[in-house]
Amino acid sequence: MRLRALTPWLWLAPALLVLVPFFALPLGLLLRNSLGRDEPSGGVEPVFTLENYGSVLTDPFYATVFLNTAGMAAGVGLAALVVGFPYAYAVVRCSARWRGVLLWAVYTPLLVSVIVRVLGWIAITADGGLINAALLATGLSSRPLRILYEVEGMGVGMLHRYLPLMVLPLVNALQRVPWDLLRASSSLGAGPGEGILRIILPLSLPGAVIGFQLVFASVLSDYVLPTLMGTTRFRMLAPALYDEAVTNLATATAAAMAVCALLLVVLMLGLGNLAVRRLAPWARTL
Amino acid sequence: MTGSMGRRTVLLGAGALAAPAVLAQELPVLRVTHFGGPYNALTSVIAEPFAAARLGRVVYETENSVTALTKLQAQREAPPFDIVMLSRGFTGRVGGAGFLSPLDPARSDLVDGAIAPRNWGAAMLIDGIDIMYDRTKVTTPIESWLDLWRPDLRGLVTMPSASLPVYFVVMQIARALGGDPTQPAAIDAAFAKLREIKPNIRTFYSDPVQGSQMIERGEVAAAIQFAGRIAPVMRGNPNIVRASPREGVVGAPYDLCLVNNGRNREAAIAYIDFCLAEPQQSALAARLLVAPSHRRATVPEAAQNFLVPLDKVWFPDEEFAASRAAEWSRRWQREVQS
Amino acid sequence: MRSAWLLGAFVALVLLFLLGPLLIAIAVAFSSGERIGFPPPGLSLRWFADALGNEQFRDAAARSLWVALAATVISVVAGTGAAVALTQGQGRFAGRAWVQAFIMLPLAIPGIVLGLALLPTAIMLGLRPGFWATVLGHAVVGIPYSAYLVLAAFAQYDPALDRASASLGVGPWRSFLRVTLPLIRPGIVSAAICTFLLSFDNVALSLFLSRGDTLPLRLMQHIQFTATPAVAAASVMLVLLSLGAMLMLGRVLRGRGTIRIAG
Repeated sequence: MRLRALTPWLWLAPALLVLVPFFALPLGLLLRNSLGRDEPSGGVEPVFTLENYGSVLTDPFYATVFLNTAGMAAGVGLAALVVGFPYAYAVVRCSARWRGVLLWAVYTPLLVSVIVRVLGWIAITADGGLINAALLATGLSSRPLRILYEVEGMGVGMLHRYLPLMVLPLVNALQRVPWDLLRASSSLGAGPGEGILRIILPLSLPGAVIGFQLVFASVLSDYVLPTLMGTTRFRMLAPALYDEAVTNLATATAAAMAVCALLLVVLMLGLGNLAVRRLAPWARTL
Repeated sequence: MTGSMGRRTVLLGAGALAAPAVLAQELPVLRVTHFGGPYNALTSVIAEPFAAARLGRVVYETENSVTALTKLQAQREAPPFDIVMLSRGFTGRVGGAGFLSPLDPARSDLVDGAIAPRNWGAAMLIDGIDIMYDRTKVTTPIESWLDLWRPDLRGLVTMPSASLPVYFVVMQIARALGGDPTQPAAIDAAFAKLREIKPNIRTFYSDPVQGSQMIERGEVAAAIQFAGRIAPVMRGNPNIVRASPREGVVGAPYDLCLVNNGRNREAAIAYIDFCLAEPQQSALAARLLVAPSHRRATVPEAAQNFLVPLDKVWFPDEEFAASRAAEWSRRWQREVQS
Repeated sequence: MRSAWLLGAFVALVLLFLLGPLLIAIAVAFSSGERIGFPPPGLSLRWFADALGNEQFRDAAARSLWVALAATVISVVAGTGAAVALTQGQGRFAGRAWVQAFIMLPLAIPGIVLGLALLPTAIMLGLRPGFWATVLGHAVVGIPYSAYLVLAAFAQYDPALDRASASLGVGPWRSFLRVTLPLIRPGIVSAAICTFLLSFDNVALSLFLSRGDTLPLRLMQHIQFTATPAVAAASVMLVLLSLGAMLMLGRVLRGRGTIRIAG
């Protein structure tokens, strides 16, 4: 009986063996640093103070950074949902041959280094890039449209990078929809709208929430895309963190920012899980 | 007779074969960092002659100033490098934090400013912060730093963001306005002026290569950029020229620094001396298109145009700048680039 | 019917969106010019030769491969174990919710934050920047994805199978090997693919935990100074290699029954 109680922990042993020293410990260090004080050479004075949190939470600049990033994360998440849902639906409902193609189209960009993908996006969105060349050639615009190094360009890049994170959980969820039952129900007189509302939407909700959570967390942490495609006028969290930690060697301030960011994501994850547990109690949550 | 000759020949031959192996084992190994990219040329320009002169075997690792400092901080007692290449802005900080051993200051053959304050390092190359512009797009030549505020450059300029060392630009603008960069009033004036440049800025770049790529793609017509990066752009595009304004070009030396508690100290010092000797300096300058620190280094005629003119270079007070860098960086984030 | 046509058009647009930048990168890889630009001035294989001849790229590719393999093995073993622990016996044990939250938490941390915090921690534990530090760092971010994907596979799993197997007298470990494992195999395979890709492409952690010698870092260093199409050529070659490897993997696995990619 006691062995049975131990078994989950035995199964967890490999994961804990990695995560405790290489994740819990650094988190602890981060927390400890956030409560210290910055030294000019990048070290942290081992005092105990909340002044870093004070400065991070009251500085309007940091407030803007958090709002920008959370807004962008939510926006890209919603866009991914809007684009990803019909695509996932198509994946689940189409013939086996096309399914392979559609899924490979989602996977293949992940095989290419993000840096090279960005090069591709730069070639498309730059002032002299494909989009503007087409616009100018067809006369739709007389001056190049500024997409690159603007919020819009960065958003497009983010959507491209994280769409797979939304499509895959949605496909997972939609595969559980009893499509034959739907067809049967429609032949029994239930309208197509009812099928969507009462069956498809609830069943796909957990997948949509997980997808949104994954995209949100990823956009929040992204450093590469804001740096290579964004603008400093719309400052994002990860580059701002980098500036504090690395350029300014303000380790304690950066640690406080990081803890706040972590709490934000944990809050969002928790809210999402709560929503799913309320609305779709049978389903799996992150 | 033949037998003993044969045996002797074999022994001599074996000795001859073994000698290089034995000698090679005796060569001290030096772990040296550089910034990567074009600095990979150091392998052929420095490391190979160094080994040929039997002074040591060099193993290079790519680290920028930041990752080098981070790794030194993490492994203070047993540092992972023996010599680090640092941009001058870091040299003072890293030395002051106790990670470096001061160098012998007696080097009369180097230009003024080549030795870092408190002898924390000696410049292997002298880069600078200059302006490059496309002369087909900018009709009146840029001769002053303040020309960047001209209305004809609206939306056509790029400059570094706070992720890069912006203190250079702040001090240069303070100087261009006639002030003393070590005075708070002059710095405030510089920031007030910089707040006005926003309409002219297309974007602030976080990585120096973005600055070069933007002007090459034609998205901007003028860029504040490291002189060492302006050179290859000029080489690839004859329309792009160096402004080297009359108020001066900020010197940005890249220092060779001796790591405290590093290994093979004597060989490390010999390496630094080797890099600073005239033949290596000439070779480095010609290959990397960055100004040498040796007074008498010769650069081929064709390359001279690409180098920042040393008579325009001025060296900011790096210690003062280091103490203010974080504050100015934060002001830049909030007042200039937002 | 018309709605099917609309959906098809939409899907085609999304396909173009997903694959567009890749097609551009491929075109750039075949460029005969000096700089990264589109459209390329001409076509040539010179940058493929350049990338293959670049010793740093080759060494970095090999290094990234080994790091990714090691990180994948660790992530998949740990992630599968975690998934089993969280679902076995109806998945009820004291502290289950906390454990699940902890396992998923690495997803919430920005990579550079983790990298910056992990460097001094690794040193403290006696691990200098290099192969194993990088592997373990990558494993930390791989485990949540692994666990999630295997958990998703478990959703289809019928616990009655475990009971049936036990009642037939099969021991728990053999039962796991013979009954559970084959059924969650699609989840394990997708976990392996996912964590491999994550590790291979990782920049933020490798920046601090490696010695600057993984492939994405070398590509980045190259772009930071020279930005030639060699970068695109290197990537194209990697994509072809990975696609080939995965097609082969798929064929080997398909021989043992149907495989569903998303578990």
